[in-house]
Amino acid sequence: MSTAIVGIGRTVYSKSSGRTTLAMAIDACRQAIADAGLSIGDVDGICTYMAMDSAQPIDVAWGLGRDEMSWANGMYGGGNLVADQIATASAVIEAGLCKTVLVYRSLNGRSGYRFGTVEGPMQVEGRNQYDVASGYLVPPQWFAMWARRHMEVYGDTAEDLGYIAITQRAHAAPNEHAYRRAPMTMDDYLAGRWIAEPFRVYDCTSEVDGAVAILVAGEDVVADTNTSPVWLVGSSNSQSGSGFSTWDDPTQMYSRSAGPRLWKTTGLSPSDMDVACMYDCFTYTVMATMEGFGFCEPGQVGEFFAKGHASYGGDVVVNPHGGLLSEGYIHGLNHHYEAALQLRGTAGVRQVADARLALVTAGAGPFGGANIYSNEHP
Amino acid sequence: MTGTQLRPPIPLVDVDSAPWWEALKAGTFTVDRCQECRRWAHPPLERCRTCGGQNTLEPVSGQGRIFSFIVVRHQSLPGLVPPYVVAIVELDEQDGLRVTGIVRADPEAVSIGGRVSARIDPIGDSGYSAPAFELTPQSDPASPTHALICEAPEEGPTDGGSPTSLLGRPT
Repeated sequence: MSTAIVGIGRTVYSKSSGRTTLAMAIDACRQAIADAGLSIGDVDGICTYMAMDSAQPIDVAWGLGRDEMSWANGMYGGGNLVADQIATASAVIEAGLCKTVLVYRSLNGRSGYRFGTVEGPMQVEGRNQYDVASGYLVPPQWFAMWARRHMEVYGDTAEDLGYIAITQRAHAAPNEHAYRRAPMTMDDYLAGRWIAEPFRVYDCTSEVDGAVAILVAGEDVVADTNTSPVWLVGSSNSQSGSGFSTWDDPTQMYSRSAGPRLWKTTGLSPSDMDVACMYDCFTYTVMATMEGFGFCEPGQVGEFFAKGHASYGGDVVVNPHGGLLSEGYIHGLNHHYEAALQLRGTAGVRQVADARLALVTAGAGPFGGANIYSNEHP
Repeated sequence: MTGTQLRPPIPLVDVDSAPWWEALKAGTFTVDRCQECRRWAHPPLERCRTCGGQNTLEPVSGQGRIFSFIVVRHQSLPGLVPPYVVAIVELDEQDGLRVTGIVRADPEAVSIGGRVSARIDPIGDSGYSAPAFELTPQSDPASPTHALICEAPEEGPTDGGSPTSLLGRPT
């Protein structure tokens, strides 16, 4: 059975929500259900991914007014699980465990638990404990380390990363939901303060508070909804436990495996994509995964962006909403929201003309995945 | 931010990691090595991920090359004042055997491929110690010739955990 996104919901993205993650999750989920023209009684599955920083699925379902769920699952993990969450929801529906599944992500990513900062006193467990002395414990440092390696091997410049940030900021400008919309020039980018060389502040995602919900349904339910279905036509993951130091080649990410597999299993190719919502916790993530998913040869991503191939009128519109860099860091689920808007043809002034197929990637470094969505029944 | 007094992080030691930290306290930089297939691996695991054999910590030379590095300019942890360099170092013992640590050098002098030597520094006043690196003077021979055994910074060797043999020669 085919499955589709039939409803989408979200809260405002802000630097201080003043709300619990539970309240925001319920809000976004309620909107997604209403968007589909369904009621909570039509929803029998719910899931999320989190790092102990969010509301539990059963609590969100309860808050939505549903006493019992046929399926409820919270996965421990980050952006690497986003595409997989929707694919898993689809698989759960296809397996007959339930008919519709809410996938949500709710976080006070700026005012509450915040990636990239660590408050003491703290004890660091597992693999990260070996890096306590160097403080090499936060994602901007891990990915800057990887980016340095790519720059060494392929000769990328600071400007090459800058074109990614600038392009996405330009895309965010007309997006009223975006957290950062002010125009950014290359001079602005280069003047950004250092975080961890080679990363400047504009290489890093914009952490925000907020929530997004995506409602996935089987085709038997799709007919009862009042939106244009956005069909899931392919999904692929590559999830590694290598960590950020032991991964053999940081000039490549998970996409080196997940990308080719996705094209092989769907029979599609990068040139078929109208929209690419590329997971962008950092600019370098876009660089490495644009290569991994086959949009560019290694070392060519900077030029690809500089020449406008990643924007309107180019080869593929990358992150028309501004991405995590400019719209905000809802841990990648906002990418799926944007893909749904674009494929419904309801993205307003930032609508990509005749958008039919969208790639949405998730995760970075050693782990991640991607989905392909279509507005045509597979 | 909370009003909590900020202190440098310390390890939450587990059964796999305890001998590694104890060896460092005793002044020895060790890495797990499979007693069956002899492969080195870091971080420590009870069993070798290649062959399933028993891993045991063995001293390493501390000699290696910088695989990649960053210059931290934004403070994210107490006790570490930017700017400072953090690197992934590939140890000479085995291709792809990587550890991370601070490189105590001028950022301008650090480059990918540059040779470094490990030292063992205390982590604040926590009682723990960890490897850090220094640039190896270019006139030094490229290959390590001895295992790294340092004087314990504060405490003497602890019972049971301190290696007694020098097995760090590259294979």
